[in-house]
This record gives sequence, structure tokens and C-alpha cells, in this order.
Amino acid sequence: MSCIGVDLGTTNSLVAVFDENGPRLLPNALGEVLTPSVVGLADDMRSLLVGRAARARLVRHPELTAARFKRLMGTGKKQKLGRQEYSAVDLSAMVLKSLKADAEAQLGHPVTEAVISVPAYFNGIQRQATKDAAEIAGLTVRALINEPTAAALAAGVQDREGESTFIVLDLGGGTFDVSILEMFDGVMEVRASSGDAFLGGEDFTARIARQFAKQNDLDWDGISAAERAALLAVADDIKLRLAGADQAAGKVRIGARELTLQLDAAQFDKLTEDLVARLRRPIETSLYDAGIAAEQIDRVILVGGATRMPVIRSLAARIFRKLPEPGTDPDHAIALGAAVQAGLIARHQGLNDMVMTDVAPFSLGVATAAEVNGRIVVDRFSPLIERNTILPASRFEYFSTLANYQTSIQLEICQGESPIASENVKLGELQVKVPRAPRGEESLKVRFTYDTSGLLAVDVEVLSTGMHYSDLIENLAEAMPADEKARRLKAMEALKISPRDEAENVALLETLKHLYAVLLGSDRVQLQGMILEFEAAMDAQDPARIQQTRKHLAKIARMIEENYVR
Amino acid sequence: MCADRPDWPWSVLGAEGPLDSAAEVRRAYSRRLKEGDWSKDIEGFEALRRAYEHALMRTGGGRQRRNVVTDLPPPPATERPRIRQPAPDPAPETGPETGPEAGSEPPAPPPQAPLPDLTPEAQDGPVPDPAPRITRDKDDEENEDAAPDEAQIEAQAPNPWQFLARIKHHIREQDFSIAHWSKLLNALEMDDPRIRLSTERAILDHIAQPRPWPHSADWIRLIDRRFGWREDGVGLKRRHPDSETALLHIIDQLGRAGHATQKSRKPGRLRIPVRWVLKWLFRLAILVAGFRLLDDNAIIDSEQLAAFIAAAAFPVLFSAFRLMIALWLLRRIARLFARFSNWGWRKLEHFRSSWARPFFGMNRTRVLYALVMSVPLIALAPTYYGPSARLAMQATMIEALSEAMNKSLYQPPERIVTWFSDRDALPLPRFTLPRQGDPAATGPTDPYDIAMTLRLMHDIETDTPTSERLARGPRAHLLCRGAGPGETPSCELAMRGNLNAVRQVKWPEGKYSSYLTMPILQLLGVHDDFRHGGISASWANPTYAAIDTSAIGKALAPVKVQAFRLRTQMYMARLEYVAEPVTQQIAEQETAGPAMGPAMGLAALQELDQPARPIPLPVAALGRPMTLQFDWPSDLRDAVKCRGPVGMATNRVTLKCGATDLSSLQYGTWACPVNSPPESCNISPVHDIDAVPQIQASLVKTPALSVTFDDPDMLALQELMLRVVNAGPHLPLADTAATRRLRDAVLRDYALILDRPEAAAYRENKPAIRAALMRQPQLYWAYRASRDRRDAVWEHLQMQLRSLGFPAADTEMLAADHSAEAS
Repeated sequence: MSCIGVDLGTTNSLVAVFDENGPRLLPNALGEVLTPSVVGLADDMRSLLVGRAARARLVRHPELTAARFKRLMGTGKKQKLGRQEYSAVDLSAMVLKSLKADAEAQLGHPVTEAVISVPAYFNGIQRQATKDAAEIAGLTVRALINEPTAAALAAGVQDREGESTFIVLDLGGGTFDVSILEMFDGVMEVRASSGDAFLGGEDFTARIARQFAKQNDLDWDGISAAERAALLAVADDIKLRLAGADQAAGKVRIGARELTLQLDAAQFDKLTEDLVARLRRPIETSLYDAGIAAEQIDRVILVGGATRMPVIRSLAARIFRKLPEPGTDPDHAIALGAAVQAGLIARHQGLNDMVMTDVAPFSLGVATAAEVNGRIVVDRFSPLIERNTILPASRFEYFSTLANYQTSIQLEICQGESPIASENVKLGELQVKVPRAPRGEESLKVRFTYDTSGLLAVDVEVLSTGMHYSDLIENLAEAMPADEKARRLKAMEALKISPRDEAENVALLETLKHLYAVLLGSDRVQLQGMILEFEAAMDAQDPARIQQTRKHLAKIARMIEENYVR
Repeated sequence: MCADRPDWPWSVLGAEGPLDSAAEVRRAYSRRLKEGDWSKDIEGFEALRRAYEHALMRTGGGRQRRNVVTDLPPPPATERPRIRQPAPDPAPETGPETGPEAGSEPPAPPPQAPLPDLTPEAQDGPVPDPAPRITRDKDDEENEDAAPDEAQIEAQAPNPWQFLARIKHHIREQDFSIAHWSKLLNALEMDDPRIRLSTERAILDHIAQPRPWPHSADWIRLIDRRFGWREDGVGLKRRHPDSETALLHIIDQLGRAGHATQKSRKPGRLRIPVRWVLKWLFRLAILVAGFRLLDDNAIIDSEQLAAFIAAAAFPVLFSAFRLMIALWLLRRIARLFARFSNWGWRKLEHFRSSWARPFFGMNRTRVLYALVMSVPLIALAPTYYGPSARLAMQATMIEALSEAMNKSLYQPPERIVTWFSDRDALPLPRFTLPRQGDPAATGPTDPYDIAMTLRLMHDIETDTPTSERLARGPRAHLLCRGAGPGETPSCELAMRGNLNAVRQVKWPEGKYSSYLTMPILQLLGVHDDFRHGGISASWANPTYAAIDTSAIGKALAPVKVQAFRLRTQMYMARLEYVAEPVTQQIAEQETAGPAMGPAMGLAALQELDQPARPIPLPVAALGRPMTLQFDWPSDLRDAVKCRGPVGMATNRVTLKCGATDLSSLQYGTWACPVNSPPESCNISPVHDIDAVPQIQASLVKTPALSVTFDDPDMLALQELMLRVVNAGPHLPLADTAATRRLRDAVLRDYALILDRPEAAAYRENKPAIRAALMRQPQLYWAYRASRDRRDAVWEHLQMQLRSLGFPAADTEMLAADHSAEAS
């Protein structure tokens, strides 16, 4: 029985485990550690595809495939997959289930517990949605760990003796997170975390794709979903290649036109100027919250595939006057960190002397009205537990009545950073009765207690009467009821999951089909032949022959991908 | 609190005595942290945390963010030591300069002080080169607002602080162009936290200034997006604890521009924002435009409606105002009460909380207020919005008042006790002479010499009791003017008439559609009649539609109205029966002559058998009187002459038609067609003067016609009418009962109104006086005049009566008559 660490990302997901030799990543059925966070239905509309195979179908069958659903976590929006609609929770559960199966295959025993990473800026509802997804997939969540924390944990464990302050910049597919951590004497203290939940590598990709569409007089909203996906694929490819070169080009077929697209680094920088500018604020905020000057940062850790973009590295260098650390693979760090946390929770021998303190990623407070210069300004947000307060924390503040002879006070509990209470997430409400008195004479003592497990206890005391009102907001969001989870689990089981040993075959076949759709002319004929060859091999049901053919064809496919499309 | 203990914070960290370095503090903290599970002991953890942070601060390793801005008005003076604390290399030459600088305005650009800080211990990064120093006089130049242009500044001092100078330059010069600022905000210099903070500070200081702001909401948005103020109010408060005013202004301006939802108000003061007023004005304009539109399309009468709304709204508003005052007083009293007795408040509170329970989520005070307000409104609504509202509204006008009185007088006689109750206010048309130059008097194609106009003053009802009363009541009524100041002596005779003889309808200014809904006449259609430069309307009279006119192929029944727009913006119309085939035929035979006139004789004849019957006209609904014009024979004497022996036992004879010479036909005579059977003869028009020559005998089914003559009284009245029209003095009238009745009725009314001794017994009888005033509205002024004036009026009346030929009145008899009728 072991606890796994899962990085449930916007584009890719990973699973890792902590054992005697420290954290290590577990590969999936294809032998890759990165499992694309893409879920799709096969052509029979019943078989579920997760990962690479599904991603290969994204361009050709956008209606049967779902990706980037992490951005929809906690929103209740649904994505249509074939005839049925799935929420982001369901889709995440499918990915988690696939990861769980991979882990079980590698470890050789069932896995039921997990530590899952979430962006530091996920709010309570999004965190709860992630938890629900894990439980639908049959995993008990031991803890949710903030992604930058996880990355730092991975880095910190490797250098346990040092005393250092470091910043983790995590630019994933869809989110950007910044965390500042301090490490000393086996204490890992998160000093501050901040982020932008709607900024990620995909935004850069989309920016390029839109630019291409503009250059070629295409209406971005007018072209079909498949064409958009194709443009995005090429843009993504060009973006990746720009990380290592000054110029990159790609081809794509939209309608009857074959477009040759190219971009150089300078153009790219100009194109994404404002996105890069948006990256700055979370960094500034966290530096400020931590009370640490940029020069005091000892190490800069870049996490997330999008940090491979040179523009990000130069931004980091500019701000911190340090070159980011080359150490860990930015794609792997979070999963490894999650595994470390899993080990930490399981009190693994190797981590006995590690203590970690985390911070509240968002401010918690109440809606108030304030009198400023003779004007009453309502709907103000008065934070009690400010963002980046070390947890557990308990804070109180006094509030008094606003109107003469007011008899009750409505206490709205909010979470967020906006000074306008209604723009924040409302968590709950308390009605407090107070005795009649002229305004300002009756006061409340409001105490918020927020512990490490994400439990917010609100206690209100009316000072004149000593009456207590209290409220408990668990995990800041309502958990999905058990029967609902069971129902969804059942619905998922109705989908046929192809056997693990066939996963490679399916993935290869889908890749070939994808290439076939993308290429033209004689290349097509050749690919057609390849597909036929592979199908014939599979029909023969001779494992040796299948393996041999697969190896051969996979090599060719990779070559084509690298040289032409991706 | 643990801070009381002398060895705090060291004891909490588990140390024996004060620790020397931050590293030691960290170690101690780490030790304590690993000792237990702090997630269960939150207070213990908080205490430990506090001690740890305090200890760190004492040993120089603490967080510094709390005093970033408050402690350092001039950025370099205090910022430097704070950031440098661990680094022991302050630039020696900055020392003396910070002193004088400390007192200057907070966002003032520092001299060269911060420069060494900008390239601290970081040697490996792509660091901008330390810039040359800004000299002292350079700084002075800045402060004196000499405003060197940007390029110059840049050239002279490519210093990172130069950036700040540029920002301030822009603010000072009130340059808030989006393009400039977005470039500035994304500049490389903004990566430096101190530059960023100072920039933010400078902008906030600018925004915190009172209005009017020179910057646009878009600029605020741009800045807000860069610094994330609205997204992260907590962070803003941390960086700039005194930014409350600026934040308010930001929210205010963004809210005005529609980018934020927050609103503010002044406590306890009524504040009507301009936007609110504009909104309501706009709604009102739409309402008015709507009514105007309906009005132009003749759907409603906007004037009436406006008057109605005004009349309805005023009392409502007034009662609301009274209520508000009452409630305000009530609240004052209750508050006063509460000052001395808490018990009273508890009771009141209990009452309020119990009855307002159904209104969950609503402010109870408001519910109370709304309920109390709505009770009288609901109670008053029928009064204000009911049919009597209009009467209340028109009460200021004498005519409307009399109308209301008239209405009350139409109550069954037994409900009014006095003899006056029998004297119905005349529901009759009142005949007056057309005034000279009155456009209503002469229609464009009026074939008649004299036209009489009829003013319908009263609502004529056709229900049985009224008809009975009409039958009992006087058939005529005399009304004399001239005694009042500015009046010319004249008398009018009001008579009961047959509205079938209406020739013209004069509409008051307004819409005619509502008048075309006379129940007895059915509107067939209205169309432009360009030929007459007016509007024509066709009416059908359902009564006459029953006549079988198959012999001529077309019905005689339709009534035609022609309306003309005259100079005075009045509508005037002719109303006539149309016998199209007849007209056509005559046109063909060229036999048209003056005798043809309005071919309405048949219809009138058909009516003859029935008693005279007033046509109900919904006058009350009009809001103002309508004038009808009657055809009248040119010479009444002729009409009378042709009528046969006065004083006949019966007023009904049967006449036969005979051959008549067309040339002898005159208006006012009854003629048979040329080729009619020999039994036809000349007859005169009867009853009313609406029986006019009948041309085609074939229209008449029976060769013998039964014709009703007016009774002698009617003839006398006609004689009187003639006298009214022509200046007197006249010969004495025949002293018949009808004449006396007419005279006495007038005298009685005058006596009562003028408070004569003859009517002394009825002095207190208000309904009687009202009824008299109703009948003699011209005496309104005299009713309140002095005795001398009243006597003069009385004398004038006597004189006028004599001039008309009435026999002298016997005042004793008048008094006796009073008492007789009263009993």
C-alpha cells in the first residue's frame, strides 16, 4: 500500500511515488512519464481513450475529445463528448483513473491514496472539485499540495542541508503560479504564493495561432473547430521549436489552402509582450508578501513546460538577476514534489526531520461598510486572514453596528482579494442579533480560524451580551455527496477502457491516422500503406510480429512528426 | 499575553536567553516546530509564530514589508536602510544628503542615494549598469517644476530613478495618454520593486487628490490592471496602508465608467443624483410621447387625460406628504419614548418582528413604512380614480359644477323634499341666436337664412323616470341676461327639442371621434372630403334603417356629417339625411330646387306618431359643451300660419297629397311631387320644423299621412322665440297657462337666487338654491352680490319680461304659489 503523488496538469499529467530511493516517476503504458490530459472517445463512441491516443485524435475529432478541462474545474461547465456531457470533474477523474492504473501496473499492488497537486491559486471550490475527481477515480486524497510547493519540495529534498530562499515560477499549460519558500534546518516554510489562474502556455499558443489566422485572412471564430485545433497544433509546435531556435516554421491545411507559417523569436516576443507583462504581477505580489527583496532569492526554480520559452527565462533573469536553475526537468518537478509530500504524510523514514508550513493562498474576510469622509461605502471587503498568512492561523477583528438601533448584523464571509466584497467568492453567511443601541455602540468580535486541512471556523461574539455564533466552512466548498460520486463512477465504468497492453497499439494507430490527415500527396499514400501494414499485423494476433511492426512504424512516425508536423 | 514576560520572545522559542543571529532563531524555531503536531494547537502555533517573527526582527532577519511605505516618505531615505539591513555597504556620500531630503514631499525623486542599491550583491544577472548620479541641482530643477522635456531628462541622466522622474513628469504635465502609459508601465525599470512601489505611490498620490480628476477612466483601468488594485485590494493595502482615499476614488471612477459595482452614499442625507433625475425625466418623456402619439391617432384625449392625471396625482401626493410628516413625527415620538423606556422599544420591536415575518429578507422598517403608506392610498384610490374624479377635477368650472348639480337633481323627485325638486333643471337644448361672425353659425353651404344653435348643457338621459319628469316638467325655460356688469340685455329661450332636426354639430377643439358615438346614431365611417375642404362622416340611424326602402333601391337612413375646419381651428359639421337615389334622380331630371333641401322629411314623418324623444348625447363624457345647430324656417310666422287653426281640439289631422306646382314650393311647406296622385296638397311642417318637402310620393306607402301638429302652447313658445330673437318691445302675449308658467318659473328662480321676500321661506333650502342657480347660471355673480345689485337685477328682469310681452307678475300669487307647491 503506497500513496502516490499526482500532478494533474492542464496539458500533461504525471504520477510519481516516494520509496526508499526517493521520489521517482512512474511511466504509463506507452513507457512515457507524461500522459497528456486529454480524454476522448474512440470511433465506436464507447471506448475511452486517455492520453496520447486521445491527443492524436484532438485535431480530427474535436467533438469526441476533451482537453484543457482543468481550466473548467469548479465552474460547472460541461464538455460534450459524443452523445454525453461530462463535467471537468468527470474528465479529470478519467485521467486520474488512467494514472492510477499505470501506477498499479508499475508498483504491482493496488493504489488507493494520493497526494494531488493543484495550482496555488485554486480556490476552495476548485480544490474540492479536484478532490471529488480523485474520489470518483477511486483515490483517497491525503492532501492537496500547491504546485509550486510541490516543485520546491522536490528541489528542497535534494538539498536538505542548505539554508536557502527560493522562488518557484510554475507556468503550466493553463495556470501561472509563483511561490516563495524558505528552507532551513529541515523546515520548509512557504513564505508566499500568488498566481494567475488564467494564464498559461496555452495562451501563448493561442496568441500565435490567432496571429497566423490574422496573417492569412482567416476569421478565427469563423473557421471550424477542427481547423482551429490544427492551427493551434502548428502554433504549439512552432512555439516549442522557438525555444531552441531563432526561427521556426510549420505547415497546415485550412480548407483548400495549404499555409506555410513561420515566426521568429523577435516576432514572438512582440506578440506575447502583454502576456509576459501579466506574468510580472504575481511575482511582484509574492515578493512583496514574503517581505523579501528580489536579490535575497537564492534560487529560481522554473516549473512547467511553458517555462522552456526563452522569454520566460529572460524575464526571470531580469527580475532576480540570476539564471534560473537548470536542475530538475520542469515537467517532472511537481509530480516528484507531490510524491515527496505523500512520503511526508506517510511519515516515511527518509523524511522524518522535514516539517512544512504552508500559507493561505487567498484572503478570508467579511463584507463590511465603512464610513469614509462622511460617506458610507458599502460592499467593502475587510480581510481577517490575509493572503499568505502562515497556516494554521487564527485572527480576530472587531466590527460595530452602522445604523442606529440596528438589531441584527448580517455577516457575509468572503474569500478573495478584491476590495469589493461582491467580486469575491462568497463562502457563507451568518445572522447575528445585537441589542438595540445607537450606532457604533454594539460591537462584534469576529474570529476566523483556518487550519492546515482547509477548515475555516468562524466564531462571532457579541461583546455586550457574550452570545456566540459560529459557523464551520469545510474546505471552503461543499463536497460532492457520496451517492453522486457512486453514480458518476458507474457512468464511467460503462465506458470501455481498452486493455493496457493495447494502449501502445491504439496510440500508434491514432498517430498514424493523425499524420494521414495532416499530410498530402504521396506522403498520404505511404501512410495509408503503413496503416494497412499495422492493421494486418494486429489482425494476425502474433505479439512478436505486432511488437516488431510497431517499433518499426513508431520510429518512422516519430521521424515524420519531428520533421514535418510536430 | 506572553509579551509581558521579560524573556519573551526567547522563551517561547525554547531558548535560555537572547539569541544573537537570525540563524540561531531559525534553528530554535525549527526545533520547536518539530516537537509536536501544531495543526491541533492553533493558539500555540500562533504564539510561536509571533515570537519567531519578533525574534527574527530583533536579530535582523525579519520580514520588512510592513513598513515599506509608511516609514519612508522620500523613497531613498528610509528605503535604503530597510533593504540594506543585511548588507553593510551604504554609500558614504549619501549620508549628509538624506537629511534635508527627508522633509520634502514624499514622492520626490531621490538624489543618487539608491543607486548603489540597484546593483546590490547580484553580480551574475543581466543587470542594468549603475547610472551616473543625478546631481543636486538637477534635482532642484525637478522640484521647481522647470519641466525639462523627456528627451532631455533621459539624455542627462539615464538613471533608473530617472524613470520615476518621467512618471512624475507625466503626472505633473497631466499627460494621461494610454499609449504613453502602457509603454511606461511595461518598461524594464518597473522590474525594480522600489521603482515600482514609488511609481505606484506617485500614482496613488495623484489619484487621492480631490476631484475633478484630469485623467480618464480608461487610464485608471490601465493602471489598475498593471498594479491589480481591484483584483488584489489586500495587496494594495499591504503596500500602501494609507491608500484608502485613492482606492475609493478608483472604485468611484471605475464605477462611474461602468467597470465596478460598488456604490457609496451619504448617510442620512437625501441625495438625488443627476443620473437618477435624468432617468426619470427620460421615462416621463417616453410617457408623454406615448400619450401624444395616442392623442394624435385620436385614441384618447390627452388634454382630458392630463387634467385627469393632475387631478388624481395631486391629492395622492398631498396625502403621501401628510403621511410622511405623520410618520416622521411618530418616529420622533417613538425615539423620544425609547430614550426613557427600553420596555417600549422591546414591545415595538417585538411587534415589528412578528408582523414583518412574511417579508423575509426585507428591511422591516421599510415594510412598515410601505404598508402604512399603502393603506390610505388603497382606501383613497376609488375616490381618485373613480368616475367622480373627473367631476372633482372640473369643479372649478361653473359649467361642470352645474353639471354635477344637475346630476344630483335628476334623482327621483321624492328624494328631494322641496317644491323645487319638481322643477327639473332643463334637460333641454337652449336656443340662442347665432352671434354675428360666429363661424359656428354659418356653415359653408348653409342654405338656410336663420340657423339656431343648440347648446346642450346637460346630460340628457333616456331612462324612464327622466322621461316622465321631462313630460311633467316645463317645456320651455326663459333665461335673461343684461343686468350683470358688461352684459348686453338679451333673453334666451330654452326649449325641448327633437334632436332629429340637428343639422350641424360643432365640435369643440379636440377630437370628434368621441362625439360620434351617439347611441342613436351609428358611425359608418369618416373620410376626408376634399371637396368641402373638410372631413365627412357617415352615420346610420338604426331607428330609420327599419324603413323599407326597397322601392327605391337604397336606404334613406344614412346620415351624413360634414366637418369643416375653420379659421378658428374648430370643427363644424352638417348633419343630414341622405337620400341618394332621390338626389341622383333629381339631378338627372334637373328638377332640383330650393324645396329639395335636406331630404329628411320621410324620416321625420315616420317619427310623428311617437312622442318627442330626446336623443341621449353623452355630453357629460365630453368634458365641455357641444353645440348643435338646428334648421329653422326663415319665417316662423309662416310656419305658424300654415299650421291651421290655433286652439284646435286635436293636433292631429290627416292630410292628402295633391298635385302642386313646383315653383310654389318653399321651405317650410310640405309638397307632393309633380306626378303624384291628386289627393296630395300643401301642408306645413309640423311639430319641429324638420319636416320638409317630400318629393317622391312613391316613398310614402300610405296615400294618407297622419300628421301631428304642435299644441297651442308650443306655438306660443315659437312666437316667444321669435320675440327673443327680435328686439322688443312686443305686444302682450296671450295670457295662457303656459305663458304664466314660464314666467313664474323664471321669477321663482330669480326670487330665490336674489333672496327676495317672496322666496323667504326657502332661504335655507340649499338644494333649491342650487337648482335655481343651475337653471340660471348667469346669476351666479348676483347670488353673491349686494342687496342693491340684486334689486337692480330683479328690476331688470321685470323689465325684460314686460318687454317680451309677458303679463305682469303678481308677487303675492307667486308667494302663494310657492307655498302651494311646497305643501
